[in-house]
Amino acid sequence: MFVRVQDNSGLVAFEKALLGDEAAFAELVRQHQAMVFSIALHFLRNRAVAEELAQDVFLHLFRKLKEIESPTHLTNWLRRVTSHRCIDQSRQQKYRPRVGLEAAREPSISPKHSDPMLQSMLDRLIQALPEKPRMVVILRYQEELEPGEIAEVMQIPVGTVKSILHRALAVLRGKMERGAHA
Amino acid sequence: MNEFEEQLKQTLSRKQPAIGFAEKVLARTHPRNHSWKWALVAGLAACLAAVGVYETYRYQQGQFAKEQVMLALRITADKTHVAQQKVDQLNHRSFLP
Repeated sequence: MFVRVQDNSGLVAFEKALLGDEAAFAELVRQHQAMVFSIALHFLRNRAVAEELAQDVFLHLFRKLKEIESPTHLTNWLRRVTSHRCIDQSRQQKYRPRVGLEAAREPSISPKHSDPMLQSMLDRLIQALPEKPRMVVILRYQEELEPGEIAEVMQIPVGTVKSILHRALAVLRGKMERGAHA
Repeated sequence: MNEFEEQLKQTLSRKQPAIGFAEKVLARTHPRNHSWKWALVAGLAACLAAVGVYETYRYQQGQFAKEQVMLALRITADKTHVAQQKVDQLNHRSFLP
């Protein structure tokens, strides 16, 4: 359900890793590292902390590999563990933004102009979102998950995901538009 | 997906971690061998225990020797006292008319 294209190499690496093949486990890590690292990076906005967290997630996977039933389950498990760890990390180490969403500076450029600047501003606005909305937005637009899938990963009701997403997008869009007209 | 959502998608595109990420993870799956450290700790503990036992033995020996000396001194004192009494008695008799 969560993996739209599961190639054969993933299945082979998964089965070999289950039998204790270290090279296959390393291959599994390579296949999923961008996903895990990017969720952490977009959520925490700190490359070193994100990499450390991603390593911890894979180390946890190494210990729990026998409990994973399939490559699809593996992807789902990685997303769930990563999202929960990101939220925990944010709460424990206060990686939360120091300003609330309403206080975040609005972009002073038009969305149709310089893309890197716009992306940077959008990134900052996403970072200013509270933890759950931030993770919902990341899972929706980085991982392209449907609300039902996000609900499963974050273990919250689908209705809650939809409402969080709707509100988060409205706030982000509002900020961007106000910035464009400033 | 509208333009704004496309922009979000681009902003949140996947990024790769530093080169060698998988190798670092693999390295962390092998806990370092700390057996030599445990052997050192065990050796030090054994040395401390041996020193402790030896010192206790020496202390007990000292206590025993001290008690022996005290006993010897008490006996000597008693004997000296008896001898003193006898000398006093002899002196007393020699002064009698």
